[in-house]
Amino acid sequence: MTGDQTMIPAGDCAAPRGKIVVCVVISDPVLAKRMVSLLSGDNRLKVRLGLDDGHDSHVILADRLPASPRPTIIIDDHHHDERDLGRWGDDVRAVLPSTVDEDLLRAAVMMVAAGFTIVGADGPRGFSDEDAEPARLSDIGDDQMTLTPRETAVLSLLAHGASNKVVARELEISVHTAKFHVASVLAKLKARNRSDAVAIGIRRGLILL
Amino acid sequence: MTNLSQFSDAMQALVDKASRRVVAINAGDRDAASGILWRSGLIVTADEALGEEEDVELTMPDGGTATGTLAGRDPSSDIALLRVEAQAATVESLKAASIMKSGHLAIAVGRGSNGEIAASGIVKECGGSWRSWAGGLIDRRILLDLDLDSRAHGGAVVDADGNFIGLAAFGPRNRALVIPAETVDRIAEALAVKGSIARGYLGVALRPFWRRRGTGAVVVKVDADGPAKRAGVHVGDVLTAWSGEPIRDVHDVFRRLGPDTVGSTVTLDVTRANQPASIEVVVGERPHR
Repeated sequence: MTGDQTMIPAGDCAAPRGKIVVCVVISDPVLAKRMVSLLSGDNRLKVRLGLDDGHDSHVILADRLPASPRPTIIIDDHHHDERDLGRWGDDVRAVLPSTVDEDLLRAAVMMVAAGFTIVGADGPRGFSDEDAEPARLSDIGDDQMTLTPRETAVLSLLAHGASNKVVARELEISVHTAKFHVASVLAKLKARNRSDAVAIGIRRGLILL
Repeated sequence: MTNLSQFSDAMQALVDKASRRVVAINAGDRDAASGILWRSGLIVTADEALGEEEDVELTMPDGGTATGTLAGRDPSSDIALLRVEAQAATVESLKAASIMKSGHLAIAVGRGSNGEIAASGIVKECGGSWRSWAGGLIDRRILLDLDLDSRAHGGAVVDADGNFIGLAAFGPRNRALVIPAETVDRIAEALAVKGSIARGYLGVALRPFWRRRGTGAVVVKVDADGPAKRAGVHVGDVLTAWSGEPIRDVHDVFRRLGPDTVGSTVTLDVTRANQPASIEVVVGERPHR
């Protein structure tokens, strides 16, 4: 698998019409209440505190694997690393920490309702934090080498048409080091040249447009 | 003297005149390319022809060598600017070709290790402005009916009066095309001053999105300080149209964010939780970070 594939939603993902029903199945009442309040301000969502098993909901927000085979977001502080996603099974589309903020939680619910699996979301700081690893989606193969934050910054500068000298100046590194990072980006992305690296980076969502 | 030999001499004179401002670029282990002495001490060439090298050895029109140092590059218009300090680098301003139509004579002049490289043909196609793969605005679409030598990539294309049509470059399928003089001037002037060309910026990372009712791009990351965030774009939104025109893929968005979009307002059609919405975004300038 390569990272260049088009993302094709899985079978259950015809994104729901009308409101998205979210069922919160969390045993800790404080955490459950917090999750409901994070989602309650969004009129696209209909949030229910799950006394039933959530079988008629679009998305389940749970602290453990629920009984219903529905797209599920697990709230778990110990296993929200992307490597742990597999251990939960196919219905679990995202694992987020309890400190998740409003924006990230809503985005995750929207995406999961639309059929996507979210991996690598970086905790409370969410997708939008520039220091976080880019949000990765499940169709990116495991064999793909990830770029270091420095390399991601270099790639972003290349999208700007930066020369090695400009890269060095902007990142406050030597031209020699800049050259090294550029070469490393090209090698990791298997790019023929800078323009090719930018094109690949855009397709993989590595470059902010 | 026959008319044919007069034509031949006139042609040779044109090449000779043009070649006085064309240099050879010997960029490391890459195939050599050419460049044009655009203004005194400044050489324009094709960004693509330059490759990774930024300090290059030049063979000047007088046969002497000099070192060219990269002053700036713009992949969106395929133009790079080099600085050179050499006696032979002093030139008068280029005279741009005026009226150019398909059928007019075009002569491409480059420089290789053995001297000038010339090719002649006619202008095959001459149209209005177009956008490159990276969204650069190229003022005119000029394709040539001639066989461009790879060593002449970045060289000069002149008309029958020896006036400058533009920079010789390769388009898709290795067809010879011209980056027109007005585009060269506009971009090279900006590169000489700033070293880079501004690009439009929304502050979103996108992934391709496909479903039965059409394609788009799904937002997977939002820059907290970016224009998209300010306009209310969220992670999970699917972008489907840009000011009414369908967004086919992620690259489509990149292409639309060319240098001239900075400060403009675009209407993005988004699908959010299967509900269509329209969001107006003021395109920002791509930050240097």
